[in-house]
Amino acid sequence: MSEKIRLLEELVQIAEKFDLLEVEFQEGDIKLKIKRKSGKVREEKKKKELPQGTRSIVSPFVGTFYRAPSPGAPPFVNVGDKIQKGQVLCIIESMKIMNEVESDVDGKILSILVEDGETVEYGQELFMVQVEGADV
Amino acid sequence: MFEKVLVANRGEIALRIIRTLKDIGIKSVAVYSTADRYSPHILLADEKVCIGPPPPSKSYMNIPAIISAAEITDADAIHPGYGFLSENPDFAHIVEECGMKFIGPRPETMRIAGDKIASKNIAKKLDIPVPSGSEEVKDLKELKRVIDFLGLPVILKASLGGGGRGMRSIYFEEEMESAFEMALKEAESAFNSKRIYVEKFFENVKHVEVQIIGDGRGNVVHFGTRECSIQRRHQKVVEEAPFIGPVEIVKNIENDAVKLASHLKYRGAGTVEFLFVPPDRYYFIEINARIQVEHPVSEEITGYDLIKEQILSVMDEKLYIKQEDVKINGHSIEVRINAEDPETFHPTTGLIKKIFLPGGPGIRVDSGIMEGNEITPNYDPLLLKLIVKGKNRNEAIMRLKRALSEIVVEGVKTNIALIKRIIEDKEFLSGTATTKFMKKYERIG
Repeated sequence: MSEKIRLLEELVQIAEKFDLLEVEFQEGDIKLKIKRKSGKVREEKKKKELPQGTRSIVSPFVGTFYRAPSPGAPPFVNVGDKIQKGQVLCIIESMKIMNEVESDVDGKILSILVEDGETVEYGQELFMVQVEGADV
Repeated sequence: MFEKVLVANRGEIALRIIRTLKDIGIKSVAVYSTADRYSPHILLADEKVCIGPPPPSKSYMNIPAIISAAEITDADAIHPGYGFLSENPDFAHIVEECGMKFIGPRPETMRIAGDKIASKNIAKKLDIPVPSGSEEVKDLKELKRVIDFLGLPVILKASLGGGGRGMRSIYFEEEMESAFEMALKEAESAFNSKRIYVEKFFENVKHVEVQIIGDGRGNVVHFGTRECSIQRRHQKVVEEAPFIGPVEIVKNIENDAVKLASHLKYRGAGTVEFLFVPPDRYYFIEINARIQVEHPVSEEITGYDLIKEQILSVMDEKLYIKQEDVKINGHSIEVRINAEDPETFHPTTGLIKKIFLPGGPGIRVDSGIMEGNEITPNYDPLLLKLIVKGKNRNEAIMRLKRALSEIVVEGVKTNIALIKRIIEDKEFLSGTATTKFMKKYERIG
């Protein structure tokens, strides 16, 4: 009996250590069943996972975001447009200098995350793109 | 009137400046690199802008990124703190060209202050004593001639140098050639200029400096002296205010500092540095055209917020303090707690797991870190400054001992143990320590 209690204690310890919800154990022919906790709390802390094959394009500068080369001109890209590596996606005005931001991938624009004329900081996400060739 | 000021710095000094901005009702903008996302100065500022990746050249010294951050947040002025762009006259010029105020001296003054040969010549003209030395030295033959005249030891200095870099001392004639080559190389790589000069090297001396603030029109007030003789490789470790020396000498040093700053029509906060050669000689060495790391000891003995006075003097080009209002009271000591190995003095890195700061009467902590912050190799190893004040030097030292027994920093190696040893040292306690003091604590590296 005391041996079984020790085993139980050990299992409880293992369950606590690895954050397990359920541990089933059978000795004859060894049957083991482990259920992990859903880990919701931990998941939420993690950065939200992007759907497979999508990624963001971030601002390499601090400045003002412009979607078009000049006021009134059509925007460089719209949602749904196919884009190519090296294609200009927007302009970031920094110290009165217009810096063109190019795509570093082939793909498709899924969404535009910044409004025209809005200010952006270094590393801020500008576009969400579906990378071409990536599995959906 | 400034409505919003951008603070182009990080760590304790960024936080220090933001605190004063809050006190005087001016909005603050913090800028940060991706390595400093969770630093306290970001959390306390009214607005924040990420300006680049961790390397300083791409963030805290990235002029276009900082100017853009000021423009998109509508800041009226930029406070550069110390280090980084604080003594860069080109940056100051660009800031003012963009219609903002640079919280520091005018670019022309910064150029003179940054050029040690030029500022020494101005001091000489004003009858302020300077160490005997040379103008620019271009080759070994010239160096030899100067050394024959001055006698050894001498020190080679980069004219545009600062922060202890670009300096080489020569004790023996055999060292002359290698020291000259190294100084030239260092001057060129660090300051982009090959101009170096030679000065008589004083080792057993006291480093004394005067805190000044000017209105940019020739009016200057000083906030007394500081003594920073305890330095390692020209990096200060312990700083005190006031300098306890012969009354007449202290008065002359203060007056000379004001005379020089006034001649330069100095604007904002600055420090004029001198060497005191006991018993009665002193020499001007350089002007530091910025607020300094050790400014709190002067605040403690005068009761003035120097960052506030600095901002007001630049904003209004006017002084709100008269010299006779500045009274020196008590004694203050600052020690710099660095993330560094106490044996090798090398900077250390790691995650701040736990931090407990001392308190009680006479204790002030200017810190730039919180639990959970990562100390990366990208920046200066200064973690926090411990500042104490007492009615006299003895009381200040006792409080410093107490504070050092309370402080806990876990996760990175620090120099706390070293500082504890320094303040038990008889030479330190007697107040006779000179710039040679730290030599005995150096073992490796």
